Amino acid sequence: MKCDKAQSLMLDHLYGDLKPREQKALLQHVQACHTCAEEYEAHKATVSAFKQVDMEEPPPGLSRKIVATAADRIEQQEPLPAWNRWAWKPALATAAAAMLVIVFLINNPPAQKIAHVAARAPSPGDAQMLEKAAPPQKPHMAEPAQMVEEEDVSRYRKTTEDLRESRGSYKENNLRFDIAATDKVGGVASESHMAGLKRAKKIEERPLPISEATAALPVEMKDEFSVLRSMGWTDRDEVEGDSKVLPDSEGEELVAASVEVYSKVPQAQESQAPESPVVRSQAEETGKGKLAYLGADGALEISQARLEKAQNEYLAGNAYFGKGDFDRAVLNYQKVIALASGEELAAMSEYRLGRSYQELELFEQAISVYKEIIKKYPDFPERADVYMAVGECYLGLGNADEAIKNFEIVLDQFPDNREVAREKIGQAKLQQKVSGEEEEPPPDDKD
Amino acid sequence: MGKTTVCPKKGNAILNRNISDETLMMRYAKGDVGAFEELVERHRQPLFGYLCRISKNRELAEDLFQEVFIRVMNSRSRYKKSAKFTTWLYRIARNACIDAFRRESYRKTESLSAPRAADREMETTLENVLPSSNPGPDMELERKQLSEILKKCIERLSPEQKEVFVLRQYQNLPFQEIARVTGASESTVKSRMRYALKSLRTMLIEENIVEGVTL
Repeated sequence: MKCDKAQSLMLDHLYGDLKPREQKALLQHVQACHTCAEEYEAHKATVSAFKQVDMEEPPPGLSRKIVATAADRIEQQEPLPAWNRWAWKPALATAAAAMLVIVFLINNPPAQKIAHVAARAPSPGDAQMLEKAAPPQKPHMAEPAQMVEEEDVSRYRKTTEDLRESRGSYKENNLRFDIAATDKVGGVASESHMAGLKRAKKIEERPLPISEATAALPVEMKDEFSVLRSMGWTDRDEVEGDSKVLPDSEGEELVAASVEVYSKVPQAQESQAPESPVVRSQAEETGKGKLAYLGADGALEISQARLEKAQNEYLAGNAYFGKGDFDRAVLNYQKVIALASGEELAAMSEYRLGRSYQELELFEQAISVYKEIIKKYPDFPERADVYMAVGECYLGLGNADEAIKNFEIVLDQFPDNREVAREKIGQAKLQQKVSGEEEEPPPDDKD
Repeated sequence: MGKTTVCPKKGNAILNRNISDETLMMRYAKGDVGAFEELVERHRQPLFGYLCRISKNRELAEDLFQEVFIRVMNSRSRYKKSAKFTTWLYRIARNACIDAFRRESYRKTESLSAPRAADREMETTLENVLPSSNPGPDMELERKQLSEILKKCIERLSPEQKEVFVLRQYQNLPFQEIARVTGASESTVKSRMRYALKSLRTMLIEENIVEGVTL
């Protein structure tokens, strides 16, 4: 080893960044070279001396103020980042429609601070979750700003307490509203409606939390979108049921009755929520005819409805993911995958499912999900991230060898991610060092 | 798929140190203020220390501290998963410092041309400290004074050397990362570090903090 090389390596060694083989080589040189030995000792003494600097403490109020500002900004509905860079094909329009409906719901009833998607089992940061569930943000988003009363960072935590307190009046208002809606339809129709719901394909444990109002409804109406439907939002899949589930004419009648039911409700709605163009147009559609949805294009329409449902699940999953509620996010993403397998949406959900498992530190599950993506979706745009994530999971499991293998794939195949891959390999090797595994030969120096 | 735990994680109470900075930042990018709070908690002290060293002025450091985090808030949606958080943070910090110096709104007139006088003052003070029956306060005082001397030594480094030395010594960033933060090559960074250490050693010898011959 030449002196200039030794001078470079000794700087790494001062801070413990040298691998054992390199350390050995450096030591050999230093033992033989007096100049370098002196330099090394001098540097060591300097570094040691400068450890005695007392670092200044930032004033405590400063951090609090900053976090409070961040909380404010989130609540003021800063635009959300684009998570998915893919084009969502024609489903984008439907997704936008679904979003508008969700926003409509959040804004209605106007007196309430939270949407009908208030948590059944309250978890912190619900307000943020709800806000997240309705991109793009409306300027007059319910009244989250009113929840913020304090100056310090605890305002963020307070939000969920306010949320819980508001539920009482929310529940009352919604119950009254729902009763009014069902009254409009009349006795017979409402019975057939109930029956139709029982027969219609139901989504079982949908993790999207339902409102208190829904919880207060009779058991038969408790599937999650019953409240939404009573508001005039027609989920075609729910309303008409699967064509396989209702093949008979009686089923068709029930479907027709349901369709008529829903076509009436929006009119009661209009006075309450005039700014709901999506809902109104859906209502108009349902008024056209009882078999509007089960025509020759029945299969296509159902597929479209499934896609919508999948998109809603995806949105809900993202909301939970953003909040750190990965358990719930897992359930949502699994639903998306079941509903829309093969679609881009499902691929993204697989990835997010893997991330959710990873966050939950269920590394084996995460790894198996990621490997599925690699196998099933060779065109997945975030492929590099998937390999990186596999590597990280292996690191989490303490398996540095496998981790390195995956990071090396990134290094070889994805030039854009080379730097991070190298870093990760470094980290993994450090882990190997710590656990005393056999070292690999040091890579070529870049100097 | 295995069964997951039922209890949902609280977004605003992330105390798990196993969660990487990068993960926290991605969460914050999606609106999790709790993640941001955790990041601030983790990085407030080292960042503030860095700003004090670079700006030499505590008041300015406090302003810069806020400025840095505001820039983090403004850029949260642009944070890339593949970017190391500390690299990103210190790049922002560095830029904020550069912008502040350009604005020069906090320019102080204290000159670096007479550090000797200031340091000599320090030495005199040290010499004049009378030993008391209680060794505690004296040692504390000595420690503080030593710390101040060391800080002054750092201040005397050239900006390029100072930057590298501080990031390596106090932010504990690897040289490769420092290269990314400063925009220089790794070999340049190492070269600056080497000269910084040599300069500092010279100063330490002059201050009688270490013994030896200057290299």
